[in-house]
Amino acid sequence: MLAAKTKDWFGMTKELLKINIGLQHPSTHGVLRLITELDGETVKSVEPVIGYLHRGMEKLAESRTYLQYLPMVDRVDYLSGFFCQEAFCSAVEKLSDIEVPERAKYIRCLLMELNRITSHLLWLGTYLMDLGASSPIFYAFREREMILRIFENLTGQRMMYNFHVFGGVKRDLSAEILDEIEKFLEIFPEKIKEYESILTDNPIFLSRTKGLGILTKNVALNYSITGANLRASGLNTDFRKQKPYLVYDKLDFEVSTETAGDCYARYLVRIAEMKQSQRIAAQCVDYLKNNSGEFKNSSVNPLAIKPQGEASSFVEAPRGLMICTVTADGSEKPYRVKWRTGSFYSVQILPELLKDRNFADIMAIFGSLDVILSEVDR
Amino acid sequence: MENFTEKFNIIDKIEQKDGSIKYVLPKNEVKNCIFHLKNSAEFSADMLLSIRAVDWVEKIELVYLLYSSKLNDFITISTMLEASNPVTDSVISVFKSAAFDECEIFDLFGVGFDGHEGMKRLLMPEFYVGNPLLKNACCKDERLVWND
Repeated sequence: MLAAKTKDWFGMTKELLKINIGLQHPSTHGVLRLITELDGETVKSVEPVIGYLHRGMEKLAESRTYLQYLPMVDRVDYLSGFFCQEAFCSAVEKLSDIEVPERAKYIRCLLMELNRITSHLLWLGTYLMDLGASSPIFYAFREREMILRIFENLTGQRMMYNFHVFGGVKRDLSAEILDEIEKFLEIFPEKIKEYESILTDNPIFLSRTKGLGILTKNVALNYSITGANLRASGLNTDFRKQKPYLVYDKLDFEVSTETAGDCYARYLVRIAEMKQSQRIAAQCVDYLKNNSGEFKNSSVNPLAIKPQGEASSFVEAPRGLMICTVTADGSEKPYRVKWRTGSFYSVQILPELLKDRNFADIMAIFGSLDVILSEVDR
Repeated sequence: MENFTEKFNIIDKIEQKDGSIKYVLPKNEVKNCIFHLKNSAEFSADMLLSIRAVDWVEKIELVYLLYSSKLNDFITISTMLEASNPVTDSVISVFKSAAFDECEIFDLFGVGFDGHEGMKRLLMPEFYVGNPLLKNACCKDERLVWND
């Protein structure tokens, strides 16, 4: 398709070439369509077209009771189901003043941090595959599989867990599962070293990512970027520290930041985040092994939840801040549910980041933002 | 917050279940208010985290959620639009992140935003007629009968 005409130095007519990428493209992790205009190899403009994975999650909530909607929320972001569950459950718990027992909070924290590791590992493997390296995905999936086995033993599902209930979780973690998790957490730091030895100083990886797709602090804030993408630009906004939920204020961890704001910085932040997640998870396992208690608030009748008012929950998900706002009118169904997810805003920044870059850099930059399209379209 | 409550014509203050306060403003003051919150030394909002709409049948409510890392606090601004003519000012010139949010609200609720160029359907296909998240939007597809 031909677009705007310009004349070059010799007086020859030059035309921008319109190229369509997607919507089925292996690097988009979902269905994203990019309409690009190219001048030779240089990208002149990009227009992301979204909505191909729109399932009407917000509309569906209005015709279902709170309990009926609960199994669906995993699908908002299928790679980090526990975070979506936590966001919806804690919003409903705030609305109807449900107390969550201490042990349940630790269980939720532990599962969320393990989930963060699986999500970042999947990102690591597929991002490197986007860049043309085929072996890292086998290393990353090897460890991801270990966690998914644990989740499968615990919840019966590998990805759509449906494990939270209002006021706790469905099952207690048995001693065997805690042992399994502990075993994994012991070997995991070694495995991170393995990834780092392949990647961190790899000259090919460095030349593809360093200095590429620089996201400055002000642009990131203006576009409301959160999560690891924001922390790679030099800000330490981590809502686990800023506005602690569950038991994050009792756990010892650091917020990992980088200042460069390029693809490489985003890689470094995610690797550092996995180390911190391992640390948090180890503390949770330690607590769960040495303390007993209720794993759910048994006074809650999930069928009789009829709250009134409005409440939001803020969860630091792997892809940025996740907010679930539930507006209730006193009936058994939510009046309105709104999901605010990190990826929705990361997609929006693509035209800014890709302008005047090389065509081959499109996927290197887009991949580094860790966008999941199910979260964008909801 | 005192300076802010004096400067603008706050119609109502609603305490929400999560402890935050929602300030209800008339629709013509929202843009100025967000601009003020971004640039005032008192609050200096960094991010417009999200804009959401709620359909209250006669009115459509728009809720703007801002975050300030200086105060480490959220602030919620809300405004009511007449459902018969839901139009308000766009805040893209203040926060660029509003572009997708406003497109989404235009798409799902039919709210117009003055000053938003290139407004288009974001999530629903171009040929779709109607605004699915409005309460009176009903789906005539017989496969969805159980959806009530």
